[in-house]
Amino acid sequence: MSVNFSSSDSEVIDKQVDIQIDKKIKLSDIWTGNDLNRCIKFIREKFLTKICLQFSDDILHLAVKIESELAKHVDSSIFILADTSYGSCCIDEIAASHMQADGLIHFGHACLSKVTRLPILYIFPKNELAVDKFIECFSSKVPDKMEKVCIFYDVGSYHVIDAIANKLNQLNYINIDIGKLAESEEADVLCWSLKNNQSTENYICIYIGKDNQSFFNISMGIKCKKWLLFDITINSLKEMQSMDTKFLMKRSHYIEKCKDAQTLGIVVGTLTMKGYLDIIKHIQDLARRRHIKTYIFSVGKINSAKLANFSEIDCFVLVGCSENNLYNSRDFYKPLISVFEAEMALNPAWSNQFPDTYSTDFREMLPEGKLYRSSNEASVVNSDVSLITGKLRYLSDQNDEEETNVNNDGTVMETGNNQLSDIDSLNKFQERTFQGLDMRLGQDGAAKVEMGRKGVAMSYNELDF
Amino acid sequence: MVNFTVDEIRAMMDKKKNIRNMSVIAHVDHGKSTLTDSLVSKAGIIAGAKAGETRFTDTRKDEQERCITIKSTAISMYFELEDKDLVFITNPDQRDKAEKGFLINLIDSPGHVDFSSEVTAALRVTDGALVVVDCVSGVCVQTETVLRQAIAERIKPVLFMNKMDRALLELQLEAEDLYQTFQRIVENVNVIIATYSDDDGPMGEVRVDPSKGSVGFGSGLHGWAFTLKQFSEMYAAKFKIDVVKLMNRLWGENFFNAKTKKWSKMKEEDNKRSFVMYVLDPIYKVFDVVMNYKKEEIPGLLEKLGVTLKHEDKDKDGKALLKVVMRSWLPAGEALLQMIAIHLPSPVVAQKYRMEMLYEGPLDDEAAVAVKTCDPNGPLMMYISKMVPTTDKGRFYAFGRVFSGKVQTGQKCRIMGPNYTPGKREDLYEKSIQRTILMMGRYVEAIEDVPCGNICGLVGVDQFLVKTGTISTFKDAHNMKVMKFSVSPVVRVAVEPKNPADLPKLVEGLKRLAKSDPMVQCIIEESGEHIIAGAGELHLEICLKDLEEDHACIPLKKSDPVVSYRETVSDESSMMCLSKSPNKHNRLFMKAHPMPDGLAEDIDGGAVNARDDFKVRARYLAEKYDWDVTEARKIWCFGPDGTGPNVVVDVTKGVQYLNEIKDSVVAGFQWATKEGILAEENMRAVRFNIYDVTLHADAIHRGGGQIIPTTRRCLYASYITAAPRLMEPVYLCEIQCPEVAVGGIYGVLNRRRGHVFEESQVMGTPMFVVKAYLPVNESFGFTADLRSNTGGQAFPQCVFDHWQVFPGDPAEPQSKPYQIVQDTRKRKGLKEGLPDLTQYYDKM
Repeated sequence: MSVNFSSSDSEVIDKQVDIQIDKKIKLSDIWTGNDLNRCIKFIREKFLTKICLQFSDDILHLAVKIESELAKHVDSSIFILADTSYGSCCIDEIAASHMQADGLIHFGHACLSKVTRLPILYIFPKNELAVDKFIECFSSKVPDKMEKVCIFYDVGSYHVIDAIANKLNQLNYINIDIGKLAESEEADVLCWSLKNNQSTENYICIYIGKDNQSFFNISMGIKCKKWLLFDITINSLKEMQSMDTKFLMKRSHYIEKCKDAQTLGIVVGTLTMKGYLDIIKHIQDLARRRHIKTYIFSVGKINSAKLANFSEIDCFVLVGCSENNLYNSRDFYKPLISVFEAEMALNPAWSNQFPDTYSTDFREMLPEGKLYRSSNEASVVNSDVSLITGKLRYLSDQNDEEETNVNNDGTVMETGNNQLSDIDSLNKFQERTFQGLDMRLGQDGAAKVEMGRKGVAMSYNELDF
Repeated sequence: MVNFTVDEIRAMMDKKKNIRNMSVIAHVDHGKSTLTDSLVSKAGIIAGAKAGETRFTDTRKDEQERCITIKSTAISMYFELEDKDLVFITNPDQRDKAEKGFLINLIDSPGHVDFSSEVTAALRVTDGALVVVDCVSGVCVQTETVLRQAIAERIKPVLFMNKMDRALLELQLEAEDLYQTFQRIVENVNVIIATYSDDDGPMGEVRVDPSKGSVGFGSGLHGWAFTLKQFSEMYAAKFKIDVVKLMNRLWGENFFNAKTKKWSKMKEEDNKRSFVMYVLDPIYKVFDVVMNYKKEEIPGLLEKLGVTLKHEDKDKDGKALLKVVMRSWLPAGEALLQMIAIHLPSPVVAQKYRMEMLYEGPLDDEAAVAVKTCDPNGPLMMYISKMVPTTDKGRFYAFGRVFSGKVQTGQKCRIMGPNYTPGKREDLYEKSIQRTILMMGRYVEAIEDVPCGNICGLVGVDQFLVKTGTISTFKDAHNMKVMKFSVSPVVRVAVEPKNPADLPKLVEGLKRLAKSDPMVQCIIEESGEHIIAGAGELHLEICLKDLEEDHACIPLKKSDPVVSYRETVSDESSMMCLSKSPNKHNRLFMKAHPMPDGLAEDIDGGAVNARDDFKVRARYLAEKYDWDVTEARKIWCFGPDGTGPNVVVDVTKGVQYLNEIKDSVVAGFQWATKEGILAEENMRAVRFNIYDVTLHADAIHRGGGQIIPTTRRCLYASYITAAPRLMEPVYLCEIQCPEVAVGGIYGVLNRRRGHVFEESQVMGTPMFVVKAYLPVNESFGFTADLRSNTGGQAFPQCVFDHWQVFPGDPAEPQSKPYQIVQDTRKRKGLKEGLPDLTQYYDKM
C-alpha cells in the first residue's frame, strides 16, 4: 500500500519524502565554486532577470544557502521552487512561469527531458565514485583492449567521467565511447547523444550508477552485446540482464488489457516536455481507429485514489517523464501503462511484433523517433482473441461496407464510423445502480433556509474525524 | 472416396428423414475409433480388410502414434437398407417412403477424460450416440460421464458391447457367464439412463434393449458385429416365427428345451438359455473350430454359416482365418448401420424434442418453430460447436450443425457469439459465409449449400467467433444455448519464450490455441505469467505440443504444472474491521464470514445466481442455509466477475447515501475477491457483511476514488481477521485394476494425500474399481507412479470434483499452506511474507 491509503493523521506532517540516498547530502556534494561560476555565467550571458532555482527533494535543505550565495554575485531576483508538480527530476516550467521567470537552474538528479520555453542550467550532484576501483573492475571484466565499449553513467557521476575516460585511454583501451549527456542538444536515446547515432549492437555497455529506474530505462532502450552495471554503492561491476523477459511478459498483460479497453484515459504527467501534445494526439488517433474513446486527464501528482474516481475508464496511459516508476504499482484500480505499451497495443503496425528495445521515452513513438511506425500502411488484423477475458475482439474497418444496416436494428442512419452507434461510456453509466439524486420535483414541501457548513471540506469542524 | 460422390451426398442431405447424426462415445480404450473404422469401411472409404487397423478418424500424427483419439472427427457415410430391414422403421418421420439410402454423419470422439470437452462438442451437433462398452471391463467412469451428458443433451443412445473376441479368446468365459456379463452391462447402462431421464420424457423410451435390437455385440478389431435381429432373421425361416417375436425370445429369461421343443421362462434341467443356445453357441463353435485348428470341420461349418471364402483367404488359419470368417458371417458395418438407421432418431424426430433444450429465445418464435420442425425453408439456425484448424496457419473451419434453413456459400448472416443478447450489438457480426464445406475425416470437400439436419464446416466465420456461436439469418434470433462442460480447467502451466523477442509470437500462438480447443484457457495473468489451463496433464501436454509446433512455432520454456488455489475463511472475523478512506472522511465497517457448506457449489452450479429475482433467492437461502431473509435480500453482488462464489451483504441500518457508494463498493469487492490477499488467488466461499458506513456529506468526497480502494482494504482486513485458509482442487479418481494391484494403489494414494471412499469388484470380472479423492496438486505424475507400483495394471481416470480446505493455517510459518502461499507469491513476483493487518485496518 502506498502512503496515500494509510490512515494515521500524523503521517501527513511526518511525511518522509522518498529519498533514495541514505545519508544526508552535504553542501559540498552538490555545490562547488565551479558551479557558482557556471550559474553566474549562465545568468549574465542570457541577461536573466528572474531566475528560479529548482531542487530535488533530497537537497531541498540546502536551497537557502545556495540561493544566498548566488544572490551575492548577481542582481537578478532569485526564487526557490519548493514543490514540483510532477517529478523533481523534470523541469517545472509551469511553476517557474507563475513567477514569470526567464530562466531556471535545476539542482540534483535530472532526467534531462527537453523543455520548450525556458533556458535551463543543470547543476548535477557529485556522487562519490571510486575511480580506481572502477578501472580495476573494468580491466578484469573487459580484458580485450580492442573491445568496443560504451559507457553510460548516472548524472551524479558526471564530474568524474572525464577522469575515467583519461585513465582508460592510458590503459590503451581504444574503442571506448563515453555517452554524452544531451543537456541542450537533441538527445538520441533518452538523455544521451550517441556518436553519429551509431548502432550499439556489438558493444558492451556499462552503466555507472545504481540499479534504479535510470539504469532500467537505458538498459531496456539500448540493445547491445551485454550490459554491465557498476554499482557505486558497493563498488562492483556486474553483468545484468538487459531485456528482462519477466518484465516484458508482465507488461504484455497490460498491453492486452489496453487492447480490451473500450475507454482509454490519457493521463498527462507533464506540461512541459517537448512533444507531449503530439503524442497525445497520436494516441487519440490510434484509439479512434480502434473505436476506443479517449479522455484526457490532468490530475497533478498521480495517485491511485485520483484515478479510481474515473471508474468508467478501462485503462490509463501516462504521458510523462521516463524516470517515474508508477507503472509497477499494483494499487491502481485500472492499469496504468506507458506510451510505448499503448503504442504496442493500439498501433496495427506493431501487431504480432515487438521491437528489440523497450522505450520509456514517448518521443521515440513520434514521427521522428526510432519506434515510429505509420499506422496507415499497416494491414489491420481485425479479429483477435483477448487473453484476459477470453472474448473476441473485432475491429471493423472504416470502409467496411457490410457494417451498414439501414433497417435491421432500427437505426435510420448508417452506423459507419461511430456515428449514431452505441456510446460505451453511456452504457456504462447506465449500468450503475446509482445515477444521481431523484429530483422529487414538487413532492416535498418547501424547507427553510438553514445555516450550512463553512470553509473548505478538509476542515469542516462539524465532522470530528 | 470410392463408393459415392459429394453430389450424391448433397442429394441425400435434402432427405432429412433419412439422415442420422450420431457420435461414438465411450470410456478410453474401449475401441471407438477401431469400431468406427468398420463403419467407414462399409461406406467404402477404406478397404474392408484394413478396417480395425487404420483408425481413419484419428487424423493427427500424434493420435496415430499414441493410439489415442484427441480431437473429435466427423465423417459422412451413405448406406442403403434392404426392404426387409426397412419395415423395422415404423415412424414415418424416420424415413422417406421412396428412399432406401441413409446418410450417416458420424463423429468419433475421444475417450480420455481430459478431452471430454470434445465429446460435449460432438454431442451437441448429433442426435444419437453409439455407446461403446468393452465387455471385459464393463461400464467405466467415463462411460457414465459421457452417457449422462448425452442424456442431458437429449441424445438417444444405442449400446455396443465391444471386444467380444477378448472375452472368448483371453478370458475364455463360459457362454452363460458371458450372457450374465452382457446382461449386467445392459442393466448398468439402463440404470444410468434411468437416473438422468425417464421413459415418459419427451424422448420417449431411452432404455436400450437387446431384444429390440438396440444393443449390438461384436468385435471392432476383428470387424464383426451383430444384434439379435441378425440371428433372429437366420432362425425365423427355420422356426417359422416372426423376426420381431423371435428377437424377444432370444434375450432374457427364455429357455428352450431342444428335446421337447418347448419354451420356458425358468431354467430347468434339460433346457438352455435361448441366447446361449442360438447366439453364443454358434459363435463359440466357430471360435473353437478355427482356433483349435479343427481343419476338417471348417468346410462344413462355413457352409452352415453361408460363408464362402475368397481364394486368397483359403490358406489362412488361426486368428487370421477367424477374422475372415467372422467378418464375412457377421459383417460389423452391416449390423451397426442397421442399428443406427433403425434406432437412432432422424433430425426431424430429434429436433422436435431437442429444440427447447437448445434454444434460449421464446419457444414460439420463427427460429424456434423452424428448428422444431427442421424446416429447410425457415430462417437459418446453425450452432458452431468447435473450431477445426485448417492447413492455413491461424485460420479455422467453424464446425457445426444446421438446425434449420440452409447455409450456403456467400450467404449473408448474423454471427452471434456467446455474449450476444438480442437487441444489443455486442458479440454480433453480420458477414457473408465465405464457403461451406463437408468434413470427411482427413478430407475436406467444398459444397454449395447445406440444408438443415446436417453437419458441416464454414470458412471465414472463425474471425468472428472464439470457440462457439450461433449463426442465423433471422434478425430476432436468440442464441443457441452454450455447452456445459463436465470438466474444468484446473491444471495450469506457465510458458515463456526462450528468446524474449519471440514474445509476440507466443501471444499470437496462445490466441490460436485458445481457439482450437473447446476448453483450454489461455490467460496472461497480472503477474506476467502466460498461463495455459487445461483439464489434466495429458490435455496440457497435447496443448503445449500444439502450441510449440503448430501455433507459435518457437522454442518454449514450460513451468511445472501448478494448480490454482482459492482463498477462504474458516471463522467469523475476530473483530469489527474499520478502514478509512484516503481523505479520512469515510469509514467502512465490515466482517467476513465463511459461507455454509454447499452454498459456494450452489453458486457455481447456478442454483443461486446473480440474475435470480432477489426475493426468490432470499427464500432459497433462508430455507436451505438458514440465512436471515431480510439480509439475504440485500446481497449487493457476487464476485469475482459478478458471478463468483463470494457475496457482499448489506446489513446496515439506516445509513445515508449508502446507495450512492454501492457501485464503488461492488467495484472494490470484485477487485478484492479476484485478487485475494494471501497469494492473489480468487477468494471462495466468503461472505462479507457491511455493518456500518460513515460517509462524508459531500458527494465529491465519497466518490469512487475514496471508496473503491477503501473497500478493498476493509475486505482484506476482514479477511485477515477471519482465520484465512487455502482451498485446493480435488480430483475424483477412479482406478481400475486387478485385485492383486489394489494394495499398490492404496500405497500410492496414501503418499499423495488421497483417500479411498469406495472399492468394489466389477461383477463378473476379476477387475476392481477403486474410487478416491486425490488433490490435484498431488496428481502430477500420478499415472506413471501408479503404473510402476502396480506393474502397469492400474489405469486411473481423474476428473475435477470439488474444492477442499487445505488443512493448516497459512499464517503459521511451518505449515504447508504457508509454504504454498509463499511459493505462489514468489512465482507471481509478489513480496514474500504475510500480509500485515495494520496496512488494511485503521484505528478509530
